Amino acid sequence: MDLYRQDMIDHYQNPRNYGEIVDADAIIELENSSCGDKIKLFVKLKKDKIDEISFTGEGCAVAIASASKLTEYAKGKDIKQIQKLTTDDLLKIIKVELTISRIKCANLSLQTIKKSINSVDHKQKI
Amino acid sequence: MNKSDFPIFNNNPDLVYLDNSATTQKPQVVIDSIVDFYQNYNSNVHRGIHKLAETATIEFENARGNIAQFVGAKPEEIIFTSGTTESMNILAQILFEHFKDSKGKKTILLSEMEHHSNTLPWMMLAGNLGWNIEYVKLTEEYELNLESLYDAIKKNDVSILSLTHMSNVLGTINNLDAIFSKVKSISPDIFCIGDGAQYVPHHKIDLSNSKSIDFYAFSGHKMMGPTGIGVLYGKKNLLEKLNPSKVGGGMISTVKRNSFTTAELPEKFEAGTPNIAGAIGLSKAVDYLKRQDTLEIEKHMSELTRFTLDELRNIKELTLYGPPVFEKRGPVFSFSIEGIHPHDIAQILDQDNIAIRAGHHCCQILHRETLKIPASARASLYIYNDIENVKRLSNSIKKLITQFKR
Ligand SMILES: Cc1ncc(COP(=O)(O)O)c(C=O)c1O
Repeated sequence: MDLYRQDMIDHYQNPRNYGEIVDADAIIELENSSCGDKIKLFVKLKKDKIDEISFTGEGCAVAIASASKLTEYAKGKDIKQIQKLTTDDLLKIIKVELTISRIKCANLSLQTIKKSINSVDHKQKI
Repeated sequence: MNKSDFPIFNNNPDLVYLDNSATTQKPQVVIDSIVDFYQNYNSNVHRGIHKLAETATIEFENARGNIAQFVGAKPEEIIFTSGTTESMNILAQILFEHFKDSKGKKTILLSEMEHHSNTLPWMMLAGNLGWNIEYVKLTEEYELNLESLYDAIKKNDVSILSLTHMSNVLGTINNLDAIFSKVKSISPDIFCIGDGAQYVPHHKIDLSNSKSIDFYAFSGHKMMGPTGIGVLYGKKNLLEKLNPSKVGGGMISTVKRNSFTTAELPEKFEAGTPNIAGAIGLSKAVDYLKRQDTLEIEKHMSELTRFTLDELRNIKELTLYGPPVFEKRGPVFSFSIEGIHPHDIAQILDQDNIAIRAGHHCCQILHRETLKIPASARASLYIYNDIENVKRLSNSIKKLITQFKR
Protein backbone atom coordinates (compact mmCIF):
# COMPACT_ATOMS: atom_id res chain seq x y z
CA MET A 1 0.00 0.00 0.00
CA ASP A 2 1.40 3.38 -0.91
CA LEU A 3 2.12 5.28 2.25
CA TYR A 4 1.92 8.57 0.40
CA ARG A 5 -1.51 8.12 -1.07
CA GLN A 6 -3.67 11.15 -1.32
CA ASP A 7 -5.51 10.82 2.01
CA MET A 8 -2.23 10.76 3.96
CA ILE A 9 -0.96 13.83 2.17
CA ASP A 10 -4.35 15.45 2.76
CA HIS A 11 -4.20 14.77 6.51
CA TYR A 12 -0.60 16.06 6.51
CA GLN A 13 -1.39 19.27 4.67
CA ASN A 14 -4.82 19.85 6.25
CA PRO A 15 -4.58 18.21 9.67
CA ARG A 16 -7.91 17.74 11.48
CA ASN A 17 -8.25 18.94 15.08
CA TYR A 18 -5.26 21.21 14.62
CA GLY A 19 -5.05 24.04 17.14
CA GLU A 20 -5.12 24.73 20.85
CA ILE A 21 -7.81 24.20 23.46
CA VAL A 22 -7.59 27.12 25.85
CA ASP A 23 -9.19 25.43 28.86
CA ALA A 24 -7.73 21.97 28.27
CA ASP A 25 -7.51 19.55 31.20
CA ALA A 26 -4.07 18.48 30.04
CA ILE A 27 -1.46 19.73 27.61
CA ILE A 28 1.42 17.41 26.89
CA GLU A 29 4.21 17.83 24.37
CA LEU A 30 6.47 14.99 23.28
CA GLU A 31 9.37 15.08 20.86
CA ASN A 32 11.17 12.50 18.79
CA SER A 33 14.65 13.82 19.35
CA SER A 34 16.16 11.76 16.57
CA CYS A 35 14.15 13.51 13.86
CA GLY A 36 12.78 16.61 15.56
CA ASP A 37 9.10 15.65 15.25
CA LYS A 38 7.03 17.40 17.90
CA ILE A 39 3.40 16.86 18.90
CA LYS A 40 1.62 18.95 21.53
CA LEU A 41 -1.67 17.48 22.57
CA PHE A 42 -4.65 19.21 24.23
CA VAL A 43 -7.49 17.18 25.84
CA LYS A 44 -10.67 17.95 27.70
CA LEU A 45 -12.50 15.10 29.38
CA LYS A 46 -16.12 14.72 30.32
CA LYS A 47 -16.36 11.96 32.93
CA ASP A 48 -14.51 9.06 31.34
CA LYS A 49 -14.84 10.26 27.79
CA ILE A 50 -12.70 12.44 25.59
CA ASP A 51 -14.82 15.51 25.06
CA GLU A 52 -12.43 17.67 23.09
CA ILE A 53 -9.05 16.91 21.63
CA SER A 54 -6.61 18.86 19.47
CA PHE A 55 -2.95 19.10 18.65
CA THR A 56 -0.26 21.34 17.29
CA GLY A 57 3.20 20.38 16.15
CA GLU A 58 5.58 19.81 13.35
CA GLY A 59 6.96 16.74 11.75
CA CYS A 60 6.88 14.36 8.85
CA ALA A 61 3.74 13.32 6.98
CA VAL A 62 3.47 10.14 9.02
CA ALA A 63 3.64 11.96 12.37
CA ILE A 64 1.17 14.69 11.44
CA ALA A 65 -1.28 12.49 9.53
CA SER A 66 -1.34 10.00 12.42
CA ALA A 67 -2.01 12.74 14.94
CA SER A 68 -4.78 14.00 12.69
CA LYS A 69 -6.38 10.59 12.20
CA LEU A 70 -5.88 9.47 15.77
CA THR A 71 -7.46 12.57 17.28
CA GLU A 72 -10.42 12.09 14.93
CA TYR A 73 -10.73 8.53 16.17
CA ALA A 74 -10.31 9.43 19.85
CA LYS A 75 -12.97 12.10 20.07
CA GLY A 76 -15.91 10.83 22.13
CA LYS A 77 -14.16 7.56 23.04
CA ASP A 78 -13.78 6.19 26.52
CA ILE A 79 -10.35 6.91 27.97
CA LYS A 80 -9.85 3.26 28.95
CA GLN A 81 -10.25 2.29 25.35
CA ILE A 82 -7.60 4.79 24.29
CA GLN A 83 -5.22 3.69 27.01
CA LYS A 84 -5.43 0.14 25.71
CA LEU A 85 -4.51 1.00 22.12
CA THR A 86 -1.45 -0.78 20.80
CA THR A 87 0.80 0.16 17.90
CA ASP A 88 -0.99 -2.41 15.77
CA ASP A 89 -4.35 -0.81 16.61
CA LEU A 90 -2.87 2.55 15.66
CA LEU A 91 -1.73 1.28 12.27
CA LYS A 92 -5.25 0.00 11.64
CA ILE A 93 -6.74 3.34 12.60
CA ILE A 94 -4.45 5.31 10.33
CA LYS A 95 -4.65 2.59 7.67
CA VAL A 96 -1.01 2.38 6.67
CA GLU A 97 1.75 -0.16 6.78
CA LEU A 98 5.00 1.22 8.07
CA THR A 99 8.60 0.12 8.06
CA ILE A 100 10.31 -0.23 11.44
CA SER A 101 12.11 3.07 11.04
CA ARG A 102 8.84 4.95 10.55
CA ILE A 103 6.69 3.34 13.25
CA LYS A 104 8.11 5.72 15.80
CA CYS A 105 6.85 8.66 13.73
CA ALA A 106 3.29 7.34 13.95
CA ASN A 107 3.64 6.32 17.57
CA LEU A 108 4.48 9.80 18.77
CA SER A 109 0.85 10.92 18.71
CA LEU A 110 -0.36 7.74 20.44
CA GLN A 111 2.17 8.21 23.23
CA THR A 112 1.22 11.84 23.60
CA ILE A 113 -2.50 11.07 23.81
CA LYS A 114 -1.97 8.34 26.40
CA LYS A 115 0.30 10.52 28.46
CA SER A 116 -2.12 13.43 28.49
CA ILE A 117 -5.06 11.22 29.47
CA ASN A 118 -3.00 9.67 32.25
CA SER A 119 -2.05 13.04 33.60
CA VAL A 120 -5.72 14.09 33.87
CA ASP A 121 -6.70 10.77 35.34
CA HIS A 122 -3.98 11.15 37.91
CA LYS A 123 -5.13 14.64 38.86
CA GLN A 124 -8.74 13.51 39.29
CA LYS A 125 -7.74 10.77 41.66
CA ILE A 126 -5.86 13.16 43.91
CA MET B 1 36.83 0.97 -11.57
CA ASN B 2 33.98 -1.18 -12.63
CA LYS B 3 30.60 -1.23 -10.97
CA SER B 4 30.57 -5.00 -11.34
CA ASP B 5 33.49 -5.14 -8.87
CA PHE B 6 30.82 -4.52 -6.22
CA PRO B 7 28.56 -7.53 -5.61
CA ILE B 8 25.89 -5.35 -3.99
CA PHE B 9 25.14 -3.76 -7.36
CA ASN B 10 24.96 -7.13 -9.08
CA ASN B 11 22.58 -8.32 -6.40
CA ASN B 12 20.48 -5.13 -6.47
CA PRO B 13 20.62 -4.09 -10.12
CA ASP B 14 18.20 -1.19 -9.82
CA LEU B 15 19.78 0.31 -6.71
CA VAL B 16 20.92 3.94 -6.81
CA TYR B 17 23.07 4.15 -3.71
CA LEU B 18 23.56 7.73 -2.58
CA ASP B 19 24.29 7.25 1.11
CA ASN B 20 28.05 7.05 0.84
CA SER B 21 28.82 9.53 3.60
CA ALA B 22 27.22 7.04 5.97
CA THR B 23 29.04 4.05 4.54
CA THR B 24 30.36 2.85 1.20
CA GLN B 25 29.86 -0.42 -0.66
CA LYS B 26 32.60 -3.04 -0.72
CA PRO B 27 34.37 -4.48 -3.75
CA GLN B 28 34.61 -8.26 -4.08
CA VAL B 29 38.37 -8.22 -3.32
CA VAL B 30 37.71 -6.72 0.12
CA ILE B 31 35.00 -9.25 0.93
CA ASP B 32 37.22 -12.10 -0.30
CA SER B 33 40.14 -11.02 1.85
CA ILE B 34 38.01 -11.25 4.99
CA VAL B 35 36.74 -14.71 4.08
CA ASP B 36 40.30 -15.72 3.19
CA PHE B 37 41.56 -14.70 6.63
CA TYR B 38 38.89 -16.63 8.51
CA GLN B 39 39.06 -19.66 6.20
CA ASN B 40 42.78 -20.02 5.71
CA TYR B 41 44.89 -18.41 8.41
CA ASN B 42 42.63 -17.26 11.26
CA SER B 43 44.81 -16.81 14.30
CA ASN B 44 45.66 -14.18 16.88
CA VAL B 45 48.47 -11.78 16.09
CA HIS B 46 51.78 -11.10 17.84
CA ARG B 47 51.59 -13.84 20.43
CA GLY B 48 51.86 -17.06 18.49
CA ILE B 49 54.81 -19.14 17.38
CA HIS B 50 52.86 -21.41 15.08
CA LYS B 51 52.57 -20.92 11.32
CA LEU B 52 49.05 -19.53 11.27
CA ALA B 53 49.89 -16.91 13.87
CA GLU B 54 52.95 -16.00 11.89
CA THR B 55 50.95 -15.52 8.68
CA ALA B 56 48.24 -13.55 10.49
CA THR B 57 50.83 -11.29 12.11
CA ILE B 58 52.61 -10.67 8.82
CA GLU B 59 49.35 -9.87 6.99
CA PHE B 60 48.16 -7.63 9.81
CA GLU B 61 51.42 -5.68 9.95
CA ASN B 62 51.58 -5.49 6.15
CA ALA B 63 48.10 -4.01 6.26
CA ARG B 64 49.32 -1.39 8.71
CA GLY B 65 52.27 -0.58 6.48
CA ASN B 66 50.11 -0.32 3.40
CA ILE B 67 47.57 1.95 5.07
CA ALA B 68 50.36 4.06 6.56
CA GLN B 69 51.94 4.54 3.16
CA PHE B 70 48.57 5.45 1.65
CA VAL B 71 48.19 8.42 4.01
CA GLY B 72 51.87 9.30 4.11
CA ALA B 73 52.52 8.12 7.66
CA LYS B 74 55.01 5.81 9.35
CA PRO B 75 53.58 2.39 10.31
CA GLU B 76 54.16 3.07 14.01
CA GLU B 77 52.03 6.21 13.73
CA ILE B 78 48.99 4.17 12.70
CA ILE B 79 46.91 2.98 15.65
CA PHE B 80 44.09 0.66 14.69
CA THR B 81 40.73 1.52 16.23
CA SER B 82 37.15 0.60 15.40
CA GLY B 83 36.63 3.84 13.49
CA THR B 84 36.74 7.62 13.71
CA THR B 85 34.47 7.66 16.74
CA GLU B 86 36.72 5.37 18.75
CA SER B 87 39.81 7.21 17.50
CA MET B 88 38.48 10.48 18.87
CA ASN B 89 37.42 8.89 22.15
CA ILE B 90 40.81 7.25 22.66
CA LEU B 91 42.58 10.48 21.79
CA ALA B 92 40.44 12.48 24.21
CA GLN B 93 41.25 9.98 26.96
CA ILE B 94 44.97 10.06 26.13
CA LEU B 95 44.85 13.85 26.35
CA PHE B 96 42.94 13.62 29.63
CA GLU B 97 45.84 11.57 31.03
CA HIS B 98 48.18 14.23 29.68
CA PHE B 99 46.34 17.26 31.04
CA LYS B 100 44.77 15.95 34.23
CA ASP B 101 47.37 17.54 36.53
CA SER B 102 47.69 20.79 34.59
CA LYS B 103 46.42 23.99 36.12
CA GLY B 104 44.15 26.65 34.72
CA LYS B 105 40.94 26.75 32.73
CA LYS B 106 41.81 26.16 29.10
CA THR B 107 39.71 26.01 25.96
CA ILE B 108 38.96 23.31 23.43
CA LEU B 109 38.08 24.81 20.06
CA LEU B 110 35.77 23.03 17.61
CA SER B 111 33.49 24.27 14.85
CA GLU B 112 29.74 24.34 14.24
CA MET B 113 30.09 21.81 11.43
CA GLU B 114 31.57 19.02 13.54
CA HIS B 115 30.12 15.52 13.67
CA HIS B 116 29.00 14.36 17.12
CA SER B 117 32.01 12.01 17.08
CA ASN B 118 34.26 15.04 16.95
CA THR B 119 32.21 16.93 19.53
CA LEU B 120 31.14 14.68 22.37
CA PRO B 121 34.58 13.26 23.26
CA TRP B 122 35.80 16.85 23.63
CA MET B 123 32.72 17.91 25.57
CA MET B 124 33.42 15.06 27.97
CA LEU B 125 37.11 15.98 28.22
CA ALA B 126 36.25 19.62 28.85
CA GLY B 127 33.82 18.49 31.56
CA ASN B 128 36.42 16.24 33.19
CA LEU B 129 39.10 18.93 33.17
CA GLY B 130 36.80 21.85 33.98
CA TRP B 131 37.70 23.52 30.67
CA ASN B 132 35.67 25.59 28.21
CA ILE B 133 34.49 24.50 24.83
CA GLU B 134 34.02 26.97 21.95
CA TYR B 135 32.64 26.54 18.46
CA VAL B 136 33.91 28.45 15.43
CA LYS B 137 31.01 29.89 13.43
CA LEU B 138 30.49 29.46 9.70
CA THR B 139 30.33 32.10 6.99
CA GLU B 140 27.28 32.73 4.80
CA GLU B 141 28.86 30.37 2.27
CA TYR B 142 29.09 27.54 4.80
CA GLU B 143 32.82 27.74 5.29
CA LEU B 144 34.74 28.11 8.52
CA ASN B 145 34.94 31.72 9.60
CA LEU B 146 38.72 31.77 9.74
CA GLU B 147 38.99 35.27 11.11
CA SER B 148 36.97 34.34 14.14
CA LEU B 149 38.92 31.09 14.45
CA TYR B 150 42.26 32.92 14.64
CA ASP B 151 40.70 35.50 16.95
CA ALA B 152 39.59 32.75 19.29
CA ILE B 153 43.14 31.37 19.28
CA LYS B 154 44.52 34.80 20.16
CA LYS B 155 41.96 35.59 22.83
CA ASN B 156 41.56 32.27 24.63
CA ASP B 157 43.97 29.86 26.18
CA VAL B 158 43.29 27.17 23.57
CA SER B 159 45.00 23.81 24.10
CA ILE B 160 43.13 21.61 21.64
CA LEU B 161 41.73 22.41 18.21
CA SER B 162 39.81 19.68 16.40
CA LEU B 163 38.24 20.24 12.98
CA THR B 164 36.72 18.14 10.26
CA HIS B 165 38.66 17.95 7.00
CA MET B 166 35.40 17.65 5.06
CA SER B 167 31.90 18.19 6.41
CA ASN B 168 29.56 15.20 6.20
CA VAL B 169 26.56 17.56 5.80
CA LEU B 170 27.80 20.57 3.84
CA GLY B 171 30.56 18.95 1.86
CA THR B 172 32.78 21.89 2.85
CA ILE B 173 36.47 21.09 2.58
CA ASN B 174 38.61 22.74 5.22
CA ASN B 175 42.25 23.28 4.33
CA LEU B 176 43.52 21.86 7.60
CA ASP B 177 47.17 22.12 6.74
CA ALA B 178 46.99 25.85 6.13
CA ILE B 179 44.65 26.51 9.05
CA PHE B 180 46.70 24.51 11.53
CA SER B 181 49.98 26.07 10.34
CA LYS B 182 48.58 29.53 10.90
CA VAL B 183 47.22 28.47 14.30
CA LYS B 184 50.62 27.14 15.33
CA SER B 185 52.30 30.34 14.22
CA ILE B 186 50.09 32.11 16.76
CA SER B 187 50.27 29.49 19.47
CA PRO B 188 52.73 26.63 18.81
CA ASP B 189 51.67 24.25 21.58
CA ILE B 190 48.08 23.68 20.53
CA PHE B 191 47.25 20.07 19.68
CA CYS B 192 45.80 20.21 16.16
CA ILE B 193 43.48 17.34 15.29
CA GLY B 194 41.78 16.44 12.01
CA ASP B 195 38.63 14.39 11.48
CA GLY B 196 39.32 12.72 8.14
CA ALA B 197 36.27 10.42 8.04
CA GLN B 198 34.89 12.10 4.91
CA TYR B 199 38.09 13.46 3.40
CA VAL B 200 40.28 10.35 3.16
CA PRO B 201 37.80 8.37 1.01
CA HIS B 202 37.99 11.11 -1.62
CA HIS B 203 41.39 12.75 -1.44
CA LYS B 204 45.03 11.93 -1.18
CA ILE B 205 46.56 13.06 2.07
CA ASP B 206 50.23 13.18 2.94
CA LEU B 207 50.47 13.32 6.71
CA SER B 208 54.26 13.23 6.81
CA ASN B 209 54.33 16.41 4.77
CA SER B 210 52.06 18.20 7.18
CA LYS B 211 54.00 19.72 10.02
CA SER B 212 50.86 20.98 11.67
CA ILE B 213 48.45 18.02 11.79
CA ASP B 214 49.27 16.33 15.09
CA PHE B 215 46.49 13.74 15.11
CA TYR B 216 44.12 12.50 12.46
CA ALA B 217 41.26 10.02 12.45
CA PHE B 218 39.41 8.10 9.75
CA SER B 219 37.13 5.09 9.24
CA GLY B 220 37.65 2.10 6.96
CA HIS B 221 34.01 1.56 6.06
CA LYS B 222 33.69 4.97 4.41
CA MET B 223 36.42 4.06 1.91
CA MET B 224 35.18 0.64 0.80
CA GLY B 225 36.74 -1.22 3.73
CA PRO B 226 34.83 -3.23 6.31
CA THR B 227 33.03 -1.78 9.33
CA GLY B 228 34.71 -1.92 12.73
CA ILE B 229 38.16 -0.79 11.59
CA GLY B 230 39.61 2.69 11.57
CA VAL B 231 42.74 4.61 12.32
CA LEU B 232 44.05 7.08 14.83
CA TYR B 233 47.17 8.69 13.43
CA GLY B 234 49.53 10.57 15.72
CA LYS B 235 52.89 12.20 15.10
CA LYS B 236 55.55 9.81 16.33
CA ASN B 237 57.24 12.23 18.72
CA LEU B 238 53.88 12.96 20.37
CA LEU B 239 52.75 9.35 20.62
CA GLU B 240 56.08 8.49 22.21
CA LYS B 241 55.56 11.12 24.91
CA LEU B 242 51.92 10.36 25.65
CA ASN B 243 50.58 7.55 27.81
CA PRO B 244 47.92 5.05 26.81
CA SER B 245 44.40 5.32 28.18
CA LYS B 246 43.37 1.81 27.24
CA VAL B 247 45.32 -0.95 28.96
CA GLY B 248 45.41 -4.73 28.97
CA GLY B 249 46.86 -7.48 26.83
CA GLY B 250 49.17 -6.70 23.97
CA MET B 251 50.21 -3.19 25.00
CA ILE B 252 52.75 -4.00 27.71
CA SER B 253 56.42 -4.72 27.98
CA THR B 254 56.56 -6.01 31.57
CA VAL B 255 53.88 -6.37 34.22
CA LYS B 256 54.59 -6.53 37.95
CA ARG B 257 52.12 -6.66 40.83
CA ASN B 258 51.72 -2.91 41.10
CA SER B 259 53.13 -1.51 37.91
CA PHE B 260 53.69 -2.09 34.23
CA THR B 261 55.79 -0.72 31.42
CA THR B 262 54.38 -0.19 27.97
CA ALA B 263 55.29 -1.77 24.66
CA GLU B 264 56.72 0.24 21.78
CA LEU B 265 54.57 2.11 19.28
CA PRO B 266 52.02 1.35 17.98
CA GLU B 267 51.14 -1.62 20.26
CA LYS B 268 51.35 0.73 23.25
CA PHE B 269 47.96 2.14 22.21
CA GLU B 270 46.36 -1.09 21.00
CA ALA B 271 45.23 -3.05 24.03
CA GLY B 272 43.36 -6.28 23.34
CA THR B 273 43.00 -8.44 20.25
CA PRO B 274 42.65 -6.07 17.30
CA ASN B 275 40.22 -6.36 14.39
CA ILE B 276 42.61 -8.44 12.30
CA ALA B 277 40.23 -9.25 9.45
CA GLY B 278 39.14 -5.60 9.41
CA ALA B 279 42.69 -4.31 9.05
CA ILE B 280 43.40 -6.78 6.25
CA GLY B 281 40.14 -5.85 4.52
CA LEU B 282 40.90 -2.14 4.80
CA SER B 283 44.32 -2.72 3.31
CA LYS B 284 42.65 -4.44 0.35
CA ALA B 285 40.34 -1.44 -0.04
CA VAL B 286 43.42 0.79 -0.07
CA ASP B 287 44.93 -1.45 -2.78
CA TYR B 288 41.72 -1.12 -4.74
CA LEU B 289 41.89 2.68 -4.47
CA LYS B 290 45.57 2.68 -5.39
CA ARG B 291 44.85 0.70 -8.56
CA GLN B 292 42.51 3.40 -9.81
CA ASP B 293 43.69 6.09 -12.12
CA THR B 294 43.77 8.95 -9.63
CA LEU B 295 43.42 11.67 -12.20
CA GLU B 296 40.50 9.95 -13.84
CA ILE B 297 38.70 9.44 -10.52
CA GLU B 298 39.29 13.05 -9.55
CA LYS B 299 37.92 14.21 -12.88
CA HIS B 300 34.92 11.90 -12.57
CA MET B 301 34.13 13.08 -9.05
CA SER B 302 34.48 16.77 -9.81
CA GLU B 303 32.30 16.44 -12.92
CA LEU B 304 29.75 14.56 -10.89
CA THR B 305 29.85 17.17 -8.12
CA ARG B 306 29.38 19.98 -10.58
CA PHE B 307 26.56 18.18 -12.37
CA THR B 308 24.73 17.38 -9.11
CA LEU B 309 25.10 20.94 -7.93
CA ASP B 310 23.55 22.23 -11.18
CA GLU B 311 20.81 19.59 -11.19
CA LEU B 312 19.71 20.30 -7.62
CA ARG B 313 19.98 24.06 -7.98
CA ASN B 314 17.60 23.89 -10.93
CA ILE B 315 14.85 22.57 -8.67
CA LYS B 316 13.46 25.84 -7.37
CA GLU B 317 11.52 24.32 -4.44
CA LEU B 318 14.74 22.85 -3.07
CA THR B 319 17.12 24.59 -0.65
CA LEU B 320 20.66 23.29 -0.95
CA TYR B 321 23.18 23.75 1.89
CA GLY B 322 26.94 23.97 1.51
CA PRO B 323 29.43 26.06 -0.45
CA PRO B 324 28.04 27.35 -3.76
CA VAL B 325 31.35 26.81 -5.57
CA PHE B 326 31.92 23.20 -6.54
CA GLU B 327 35.71 23.33 -6.11
CA LYS B 328 35.25 24.03 -2.43
CA ARG B 329 33.16 21.01 -1.66
CA GLY B 330 33.02 17.27 -1.79
CA PRO B 331 30.13 15.29 -3.29
CA VAL B 332 27.79 15.63 -0.29
CA PHE B 333 24.49 17.40 -0.90
CA SER B 334 22.17 18.19 1.99
CA PHE B 335 18.89 19.85 1.15
CA SER B 336 15.40 20.59 2.32
CA ILE B 337 12.12 21.19 0.53
CA GLU B 338 9.53 23.52 2.02
CA GLY B 339 6.47 21.57 3.18
CA ILE B 340 7.98 18.09 2.81
CA HIS B 341 9.78 16.55 5.75
CA PRO B 342 13.22 14.98 5.00
CA HIS B 343 12.00 11.59 6.26
CA ASP B 344 9.22 11.66 3.72
CA ILE B 345 11.66 12.67 0.99
CA ALA B 346 13.95 9.74 1.85
CA GLN B 347 11.09 7.28 2.02
CA ILE B 348 9.58 8.30 -1.30
CA LEU B 349 12.99 8.16 -2.99
CA ASP B 350 13.40 4.69 -1.50
CA GLN B 351 10.24 3.63 -3.27
CA ASP B 352 12.14 4.50 -6.46
CA ASN B 353 15.13 2.49 -5.21
CA ILE B 354 17.21 5.55 -4.45
CA ALA B 355 18.97 5.35 -1.10
CA ILE B 356 19.60 8.70 0.57
CA ARG B 357 19.66 9.71 4.24
CA ALA B 358 17.38 11.95 6.27
CA GLY B 359 17.96 13.38 9.71
CA HIS B 360 20.55 15.51 11.43
CA HIS B 361 23.42 13.27 10.23
CA CYS B 362 25.03 13.41 13.69
CA CYS B 363 25.31 17.22 13.42
CA GLN B 364 22.59 18.63 15.68
CA ILE B 365 24.45 21.83 16.48
CA LEU B 366 24.87 22.59 12.77
CA HIS B 367 21.22 21.90 12.02
CA ARG B 368 19.74 23.72 14.99
CA GLU B 369 22.02 26.75 15.19
CA THR B 370 23.42 27.31 11.71
CA LEU B 371 20.93 25.88 9.24
CA LYS B 372 17.98 26.42 11.62
CA ILE B 373 16.15 23.28 10.53
CA PRO B 374 15.55 20.12 12.58
CA ALA B 375 16.72 17.79 9.83
CA SER B 376 17.79 17.63 6.21
CA ALA B 377 17.87 15.12 3.37
CA ARG B 378 21.31 14.14 2.13
CA ALA B 379 22.58 12.55 -1.06
CA SER B 380 26.28 11.63 -1.00
CA LEU B 381 28.23 10.21 -3.91
CA TYR B 382 31.18 7.94 -4.37
CA ILE B 383 33.35 6.71 -7.23
CA TYR B 384 30.84 4.14 -8.51
CA ASN B 385 28.05 6.70 -8.91
CA ASP B 386 27.43 8.30 -12.28
CA ILE B 387 25.46 11.01 -14.08
CA GLU B 388 22.60 8.55 -14.64
CA ASN B 389 22.26 8.06 -10.86
CA VAL B 390 22.06 11.80 -10.31
CA LYS B 391 19.46 12.20 -13.04
CA ARG B 392 17.32 9.57 -11.37
CA LEU B 393 17.69 11.44 -8.10
CA SER B 394 16.61 14.77 -9.53
CA ASN B 395 13.72 13.22 -11.49
CA SER B 396 12.39 11.49 -8.39
CA ILE B 397 12.69 14.69 -6.38
CA LYS B 398 10.72 16.59 -9.03
CA LYS B 399 8.08 13.87 -9.02
CA LEU B 400 7.63 13.95 -5.27
CA ILE B 401 7.35 17.72 -5.26
CA THR B 402 4.39 17.35 -7.66
CA GLN B 403 2.90 14.65 -5.45
CA PHE B 404 2.89 17.07 -2.51
CA LYS B 405 1.67 20.09 -4.51
CA ARG B 406 -1.40 21.56 -2.91
C1 LIG C 1 32.86 13.78 9.62
C2 LIG C 1 32.63 12.50 10.35
N1 LIG C 1 33.26 12.28 11.51
C3 LIG C 1 33.11 11.14 12.20
C4 LIG C 1 32.27 10.14 11.75
C5 LIG C 1 32.13 8.89 12.57
O1 LIG C 1 32.62 7.79 11.90
P1 LIG C 1 32.39 6.33 12.46
O2 LIG C 1 30.91 6.18 12.65
O3 LIG C 1 32.91 5.45 11.39
O4 LIG C 1 33.13 6.19 13.73
C6 LIG C 1 31.59 10.32 10.55
C7 LIG C 1 30.68 9.30 10.02
O5 LIG C 1 29.52 9.20 10.27
C8 LIG C 1 31.77 11.54 9.85
O6 LIG C 1 31.11 11.76 8.70
